[in-house]
Amino acid sequence: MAASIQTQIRLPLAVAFKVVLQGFRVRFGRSIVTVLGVALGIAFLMSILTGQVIKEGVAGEQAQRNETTRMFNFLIAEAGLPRGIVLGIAELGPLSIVEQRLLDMIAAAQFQQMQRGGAAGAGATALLVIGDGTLTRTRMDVLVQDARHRLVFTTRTGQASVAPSEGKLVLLARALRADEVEKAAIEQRKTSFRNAWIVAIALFVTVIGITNSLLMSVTERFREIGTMKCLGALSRFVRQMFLIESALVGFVGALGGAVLGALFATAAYAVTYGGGLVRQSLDVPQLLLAFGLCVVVGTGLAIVAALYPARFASRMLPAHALRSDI
Amino acid sequence: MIDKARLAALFRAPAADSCPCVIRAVDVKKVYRMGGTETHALRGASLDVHRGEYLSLMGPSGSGKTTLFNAIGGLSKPTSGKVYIDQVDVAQLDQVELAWLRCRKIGYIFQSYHLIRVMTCLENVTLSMSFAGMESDEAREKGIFLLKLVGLGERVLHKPGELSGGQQQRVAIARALANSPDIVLADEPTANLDSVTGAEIIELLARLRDELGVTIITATHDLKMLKRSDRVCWMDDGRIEKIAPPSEINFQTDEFDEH
Ligand SMILES: Nc1ncnc2c1ncn2[C@@H]1O[C@H](COP(=O)(O)OP(=O)(O)OP(=O)(O)O)[C@@H](O)[C@H]1O
Ligand SMILES: [Mg+2]
Repeated sequence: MAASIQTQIRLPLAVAFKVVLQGFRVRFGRSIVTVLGVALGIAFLMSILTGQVIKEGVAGEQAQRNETTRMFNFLIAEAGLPRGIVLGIAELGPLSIVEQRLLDMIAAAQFQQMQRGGAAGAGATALLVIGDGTLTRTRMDVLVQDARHRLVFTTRTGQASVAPSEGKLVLLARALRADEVEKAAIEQRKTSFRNAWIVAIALFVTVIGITNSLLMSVTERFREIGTMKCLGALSRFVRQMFLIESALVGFVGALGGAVLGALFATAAYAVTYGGGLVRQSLDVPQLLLAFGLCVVVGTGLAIVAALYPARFASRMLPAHALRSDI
Repeated sequence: MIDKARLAALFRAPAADSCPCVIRAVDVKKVYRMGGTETHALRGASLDVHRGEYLSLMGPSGSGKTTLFNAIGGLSKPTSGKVYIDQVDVAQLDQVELAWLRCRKIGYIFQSYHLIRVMTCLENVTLSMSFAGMESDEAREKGIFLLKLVGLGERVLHKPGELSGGQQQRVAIARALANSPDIVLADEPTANLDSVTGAEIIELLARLRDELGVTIITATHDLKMLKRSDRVCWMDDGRIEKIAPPSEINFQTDEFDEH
């Protein structure tokens, strides 16, 4: 007897699952409507998250393009037009994207001569120091030794700890001023607060929708639940049934909604910014993270929405539930 | 979660040996309150049911038969009075123990069947077996056996909505026997059956009693059923008027004529 009581605890989960799937088949139309409700709420959340990812990506991309152009123009303004210039390039280490692009730009501008490596400085009009690293004073002096003009550009602060003994050191990078940084942060906070507010409302509506449809489902199944309780179903079994039902609705709805929201937002931003820019700047891992978040939030909210209906159903007295049809 | 020791203690056989009563109702009253009105469905019913007995309950419509069934089957709480099943006060059982009782100890046949419409006949029958923790293959086999027993071997995979009233009633009977209960509570089990099938069901219930010692309590107006039972219990207006073996009851009197 003890063994069979043990199994009474475990087995019904599979039964609950089966009953739930059966219920979906029977009440297909309404299940679809509930799923759509979740999908809409989650699509909204996902479109806002995707929009944020795209906007950040595009903004970053544009900032990098601007920075590159600015550096290049600065370089030319200081060193002179490409035509007459021999540019020596000293690479200290791995390049940032901006540095890479600056090099591409320089290459495209066809300076008279570009030279790299140890002899980068020989007869150079100017030296460009790029990459992650620090030049020692000795190395700097060696580089500058044979140059025609002792003009050194650096792309990062800290690349050259000291200026060459003779000549001029120019820093191309421009640090943002404190007030600029603060302004951007305030702007960011304003947008995310507004977004959070709209999303919260949308999700709240979704939760109410699920709760409502589950309560309908409970009333509709009053007799069924009562019968099951008369046959020995534990309250926990009834509760599980509704939680599983809701979690499935939430999961499917959230999956659909997340795909829908991502597609919609990407299309909308592709129209405003241009498809090429969006594609180039799209942060895919960030997008996948948002997708996962949406699925978790959708399923989680659906379970929360089911708590009250499930409790309501599980507390029903069997004899009371049986009479509801007479 | 479930207190095995307590359950074992509650339903151990020795207690039963000392007293032959499997069900004992003591002055059970049930009052339904709806809005301002009170309905006294049971006005103090007392009843002892012996182990392995076949008891028939009869009485006019609204006399409280279904209410009494619900009370002694642990499906509803009486307003006052006590119900003992195997010497155990049902009011003292917690939720899990009550579920265990409904699942294993008692088989119910409801007046309006209460089959689950979205499930097939087989699933209806096997549902309480899975609540009892039976493996699904074993449950399936037993379910098919029980459905064959009530003559529905061909309809195993039909939904209740596709069956006639009598066929649904037979599914309900098969379901009541799912967990081999000690007690079968049958509320008008032959009401919708033709006389041949009705007689078969009566025979089946009698056989369960004779061969397996199952205690059977039915509400019925069926003369054949009344005559087959050990005792007949006459109810009127929430009271049990008299209990007597069928041989001592004159089925020709007026009170039987009207049904
Ligand atoms: N849930 C309820 N709420 C209010 N009144 C109820 C309820 N259940 C039963 N009653 C009343 O209690 C009385 C007894 O009902 P019950 O169903 O026990 O009768 P019965 O003997 O089974 O009748 P029948 O032979 O028609 O099935 C009736 O007057 C009925 O109206
Ligand atoms: Mg009745």
